[in-house]
Order: sequence, then C-alpha cells, then structure tokens
Amino acid sequence: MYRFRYLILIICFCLFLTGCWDSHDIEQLNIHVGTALDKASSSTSNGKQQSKNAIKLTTQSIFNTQPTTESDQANQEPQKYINISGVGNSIIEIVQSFSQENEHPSYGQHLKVIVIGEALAKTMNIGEILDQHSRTYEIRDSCILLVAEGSAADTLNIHTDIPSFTLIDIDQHQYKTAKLLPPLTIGKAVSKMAAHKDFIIQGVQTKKGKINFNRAALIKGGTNRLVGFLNEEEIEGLNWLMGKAKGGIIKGRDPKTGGLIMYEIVSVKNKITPYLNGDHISFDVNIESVGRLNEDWVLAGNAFSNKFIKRAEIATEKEVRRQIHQTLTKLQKYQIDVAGFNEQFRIHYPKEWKRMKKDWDKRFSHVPITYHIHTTIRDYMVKGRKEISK
Amino acid sequence: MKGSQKNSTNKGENTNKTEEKPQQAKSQHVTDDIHTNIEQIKQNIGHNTDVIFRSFQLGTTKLKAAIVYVDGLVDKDLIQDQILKSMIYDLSSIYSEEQLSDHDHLKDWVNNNVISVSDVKEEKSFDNVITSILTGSTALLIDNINTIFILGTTSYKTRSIEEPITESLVRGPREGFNESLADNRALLRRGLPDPALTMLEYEMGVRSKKKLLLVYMEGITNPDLLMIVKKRLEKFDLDLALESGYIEQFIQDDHFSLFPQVQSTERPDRVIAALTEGRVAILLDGTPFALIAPVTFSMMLQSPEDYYERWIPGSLIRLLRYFAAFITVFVPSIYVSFISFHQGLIPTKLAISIAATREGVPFPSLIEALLMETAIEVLREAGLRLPRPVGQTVGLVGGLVVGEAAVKAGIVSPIMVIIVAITAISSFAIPQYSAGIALRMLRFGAMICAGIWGLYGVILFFLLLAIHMCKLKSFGVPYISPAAPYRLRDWKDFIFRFPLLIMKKRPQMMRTLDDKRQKGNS
Repeated sequence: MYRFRYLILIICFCLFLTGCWDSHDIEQLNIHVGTALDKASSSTSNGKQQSKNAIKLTTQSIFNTQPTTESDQANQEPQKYINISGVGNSIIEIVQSFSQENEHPSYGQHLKVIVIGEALAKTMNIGEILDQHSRTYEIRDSCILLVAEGSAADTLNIHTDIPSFTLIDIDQHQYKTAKLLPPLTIGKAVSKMAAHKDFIIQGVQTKKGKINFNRAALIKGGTNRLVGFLNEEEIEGLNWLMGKAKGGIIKGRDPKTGGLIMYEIVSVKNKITPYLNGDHISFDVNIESVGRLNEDWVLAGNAFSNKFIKRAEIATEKEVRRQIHQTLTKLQKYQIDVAGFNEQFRIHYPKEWKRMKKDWDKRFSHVPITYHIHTTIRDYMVKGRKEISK
Repeated sequence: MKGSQKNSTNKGENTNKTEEKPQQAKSQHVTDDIHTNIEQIKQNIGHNTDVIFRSFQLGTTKLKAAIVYVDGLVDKDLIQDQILKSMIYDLSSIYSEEQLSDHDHLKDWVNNNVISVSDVKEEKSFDNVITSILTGSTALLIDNINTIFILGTTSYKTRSIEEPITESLVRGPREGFNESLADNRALLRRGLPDPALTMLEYEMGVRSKKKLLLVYMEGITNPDLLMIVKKRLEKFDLDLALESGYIEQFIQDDHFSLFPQVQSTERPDRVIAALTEGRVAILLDGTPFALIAPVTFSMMLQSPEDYYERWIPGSLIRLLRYFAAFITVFVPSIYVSFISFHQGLIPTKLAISIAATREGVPFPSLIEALLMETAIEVLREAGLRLPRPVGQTVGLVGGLVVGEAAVKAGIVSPIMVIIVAITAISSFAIPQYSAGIALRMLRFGAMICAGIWGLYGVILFFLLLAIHMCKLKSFGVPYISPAAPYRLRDWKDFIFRFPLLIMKKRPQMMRTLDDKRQKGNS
C-alpha cells in the first residue's frame, strides 16, 4: 500500500507543482512570418545613440481573428496580417521591444522570409545584420533571404493576402522561368559568408503595392556588402552559365524571317573548364541544353522539317550567347565571381588557388572566358505545318 | 472451500470420480430407510415450494419409492414417461417378490432394467444429492437401498445459438456461444472432433456451483501452462461465479495493469483457433463469453477475419488496426503538445488556420481536449446502456450538440472536434472491446503528460507504456512477444499475416509439445 501512496504523491507533484512548462497555446502567439530590415531614416532614430547605423525592423505577423459574423466576410476581406516596426541598434533589441507593445509574445519558428533593404545592405555587413537570425535556434535555416530595391518594409505591404507567403511562393518558380535565382536560405547564405565567398541574393522591386522579382543583388564576399544589381536578362544569363536554369523561355529570332521563336528550357547542363598557362588563367564554358519549341511566329516555319528546327536552335543559341555575354561583362565589372569559376579553378589547380585566392576577384575581372552553347530541340509539341512552297 | 475438479468428460462417459471431501464431517450418509432420507432432504431444501416430492410404490409391490426434483429445472416429460411410468407400471410384470429381499440385486436391477434415462449416478452423500437436485437432476429414493439414484433430467430454457453481437464478422461463421455450457461444449466438439480435445470440469463458487470447463489440446498444450491455469483455477475462492469475468479477475497475472491478460470471446472459431495454437480455453456455464489464455498484445488487434480473408487484405487490415490503436492513444496528446508547446512543428499555413480557429476558445488545449474526450466517452457509455433505439438518438443528439453547438458557442475549436472524432472512431476499429477500453484509458494519461511536458511528456509516457508492456506476462508468455523477446518465427503472424501455407508451425512462444501445423507431404 505504501508503494501506491508514493505513486499517488508523485502524480500529485507532477500535476500540481510543475504546471505547464513553456506552454503557450498557439492562438496566444504572435507568429512572425516575414521580417524586413531597413536602414532607419534619420528622423525616426533621432534620440538614439549611433543613429547612423540604426536599423529599422518590420515584422509581419498573422492576425488571429476570424471574421465574427458572416456579413463581415461578405463586405470585405479583413486584413489577415499586421506589420509592426521598431528601431534600434541590434536585432534582438528591437524584437524584444515588441514584447512591451504587444499582448502576444513573438514566435519566430514560422519565419519564412527576411527582406533586406538596399540602403542597409550597401552600408552594413549582411553577416552582422543576420547574426541573430542565424544564431538563434528559434529561426529555421530554411528561412529565405531577399534584397529589396528601395524600402524593404514596402515588400511586406503589397496587396496580397499575406505578403510574406506571396514572396516565398514566387521564389519557388524556377521551374517556370529562368529569370529567378534558386532560393537562398539563411543556412546557405551563412555558409557562403563564412567562406568569404561572393554571393547573389534574389532582389525584389515594389511599385504601387505590386511586387516584381526582377533584380539580383551582388554581394561582395568578405565585406558582405551590396555592390550592384543584375537585371532580369543578366539573371537568366547567370542561370545558363551556372546550369541552374530549370525552365523558362528563351526568345530567339529566326535568322531567315525575323519571326519570334520561343524555346522552352527542359534542362541545362554546364561544364566549366579552367586553363592555366603560367600565370595566365582562362576559362572555357560548355553549355548543353535540351528543350522544346513552344511557340513560333514564323509563318513559313515547319516544325516537321529538320532545317527549320536547326534554324530555331541557332536562333536560341544566339540569344543565350548574348545574355551570357552581358552577364559576364557585368560580373567582371563588379569583380564578383558568383558563377562558380573560382570553385572549378580550386578543384583543378588547388596549389595555384592557394596563391591566387587572395586577389581572385581582381584576377577574375580580366580572365578571358569562352563559351559554347549547344541547344537541342527535342520536340515541337503537337503542332507543325507544311512549309509554304515558294 | 475450493473449486474442485470433478471428472473428465473426455470420452463422454459419466464415471464418478468425485473424491469424498474430508472436510464435510457434518454431511450425513444415506440410510436404508426412505423416510429418514426424505426427511433429511426436506430439512435441507424442503421449505422451498419449487422442490417437488413425489412418493409412490414400485409396481405392485409394497416397496416405497420417491423422486425429488426442482420444478422448472427438469424435463417433466422425461420424468413421467421414462421414470414414473416404468417404475409404476412396467416393473410389476417382470419383477418377482423374492427378489425384493435382496437389496443389492434390487439396486442393480433398477439401474439396469427399469430406469430408461441415460445419465444415472449413485450418490451416498446428502450434500451431493442436494446439489444435484438444485442443479436440475432428479433424485430417486427407494426403500431399503442405501444409495440415491441421481437421474440426469436437467432441462431448462436456453437461448438459441445466435450471431455473436460483440464480434460480428463480414466473413466467417455466424455461430456464437450462448449461456448453456452443454451447447457451448457441443459447439467446440463439432468444430474440433479430435480425441486430443480435452475438457476438464470444475465447479466454481461455493454457492453458485457453476460448472466450468478447462479446455485444451492434449499433446499440443504445454503441460506447464496447464499446471499454472489449474493452480489458479483451484485458487478461485468466491461463493459466486456469475460470469467468466469473475474467473478472469482471479486468474490474471497483474491486477493493476490496464491491459486485459485473458481474452474473452463469444466466437467458437476463435476458441478453436486458440486451442490449436496451444492455448487454453475456459468455458463457464451461464455466460456466452469464453476465456482464452495466455494472450499477447497482438491478439487484441487480431480478428478471425484476418485469416479468413486472403493474406494481403488480411495483413493490410491488420496493419490498419495497429495504426488505429496508435491514433487512439496518441493523437489527442500529440495535438495538445503541438498546440501548446511545439507550434513550430506544424506547417505554417496549418498553424495559422489552427490559431485562427482557436481564437476565442477560453480553455488551454489540455482542458479542451480532456473536456471533449470525456464528453465523447460519456456519449459512448450513454448510448451503450440505453435501449437500442434511444441509444442511437443519444449518439446523434449528443454528437450534434457537442460537435456543432459547442464549436459555435466558442467553447471548443473545430479542430479539436475533428481530433476527438478521429480518436473515437479509431478506438472502435479495435476488434476486442476490452482492449479498446484499455487504449482509451491510456489516451487520458498521454494527454495529461502532453499537457505538462509537451512532446517530451508523450515520449516519456510511451516509454513508460513500453516498459510496462515488456514486463507484463500472461500465464508466463510475455505480453508483447514476439517483438520482445524477439522470435522471428512468430513474426509471420504478428503485424502482418503471412500466407497460411508459410505458417507451417505453431507459435513458438506457446512452447507447444507438437509444433507442426502441416503434417502433409511438405
């Protein structure tokens, strides 16, 4: 009987003395889904010390109220999210200050996206800005990083249901367009920064409450500062160069008639071969792509004839060549090597790499790069027509 | 006072092996004088109006005789046609006067030539005589003979053999046990006409004197197991054995475990299958529920249908039941721990919609879960006890009120209602009612652990459960065998049911004397 008395005692201890450790019901949390980091404007950071570097942090959290009556639902969509901003010198300081203003505690495990403003990325080390986010276990490594041209806070204010979800959903569309970079997660960014490598972050632009993923921010390794942007075509060129394009359209012009030829990418493979001749470095890039003819505006075009297909392939290659050229020019101008040339050089010439890695970026800007593009149109879908005989 | 083994009815003969009980010093023996004998019986049970005494004279002789029986328990036609008629009319024509004086001869003669009843015993002890009368036999007393004939005239109304309600199958025999031990015994015999099928008879309860059959397969069942069961049956020490549940609670291993350690079933096919696996069955008079021992946890999730169906659907359905058992125990607790502790583990969009539906719910998730689970248990119990048409109404009204109105009133969240419904339905997918109860009880423990410690608590609870189940034994057989101790051979009939062709041997865990199932040319 004593045994059971003890058992009852232990159960009572557990029930009444422990309480519910760390228990917070889900509806009492302020679930953050997106964060925007901006440089604080001088007016808002008047009273602070070091006002020069102060950060403005905006978080987007989900607003937990359901429409109470049915008429509410009918009248207008209530806003489902709420954006809170704070100013301070450190991230954690600002996040903590939210607890003083909000009824619900902050909860970061569902944070999906961090947007860094252009101005902040240019003046501050991104590694330092993201230090708290990458250090804490509350935020997942899978959180996606974006750079906003202009104000980052605006990207969380676009006219969609929940802007943060729109951002991450658009960022998954590589299979539909080659003009998007593969998503960069915090985990990947941190590892790039730790290796002092240059990297590239998908950039976004907001105009009148609409978002466009038409930029890419070039980040210089070491200082981790933004040095410039690539435009859409250059992103596409970079994707070709890296063999990362998974889908999308290349718009070529038929050399004979000048009609449009749309080439849909199915796969792209690249091979970068470095050559070293004394101190002279050169690269040769071989790109092979398989795709299909998706749309042609060539009235005389006959998809059943191999000649026409050949022409279409040449037209595509020409367009790709132009894009890659444009991209490489810009990369070499900014002295940013994000296409993986350094990695191939390191693999092929490890000893020389050790010697050259210090001023690699400078060397890279002068390196001659040749590229060969070979596209194959595997199918022309379900349409073809007889060439009009002349 | 102990339940005593009375006789072996293996070959169907009625040999009286009863040993005289030494402790019955009080009991008086039958005398030569019929009047004293009748007086003796009257003293014991004569005050009851249902005990009938009928005195008559043997044929034309002056020899006095009497029969005693209990009205309603006997077959009156049998008594009138086969006993009274032959004693009063037929006797005189053959019987000569001088033989009367020879008492021994008279006794044999009555036994051999007069009574045309198949079941006849001679009894000398009044205690036994009275017991026999009260269980439906007729006592025949004849003057000058110092024994009493006990004539097996027992006949009472029994339910016909019907489909078992608690274990209905889509495919399989529709016969179920009923309350008559004779019928149940016959069902087993008919299903297994094998000389090895052995039935030992016991008498349970000093006052209820219920007949109990211990059934096993001679030459298959391990004698050690038989010893354990016999020992425990002999320990039964209640004056009443109303239902086999009384026996179960006396012979089980661990009285504090939530898990049933003896399986009860209404299905003869289930009993027969268990017998051939080397298990032991216990049948009690007056209840349709037979007991099977020893059992393992996997048996609780098995249905005879697993074997009647082809092996792939059988296996998949069995797998589904394991899944249902897991849902029954752990889903509410996992829900509670996700909602209150690990919101990060829910996919973001789901987390947001859950948060939205829970907005305005006044209780923490644990209280909400306990409230709803209790409500559904009450509903279940209410529906069970009421007459069937009313029970359905209770289920319908209760389900609607709790499901709809409680959500609309904002007392509980709709997701909680879904969780409760899923667990309730899953718990009904467990074929054994008693196992279902055990799992439903465990669910509450898991929920409380989840409410205090989150997922960590759920894992602790699982470990505790695993430890308990590993420790538990049913008549010497580990409860979760063949998982632990690990016996690969028995895995053929554990989570999956392998083709019958492959199951050539009986379960290893039963340590049967003859472990070959297929004796053919293989």
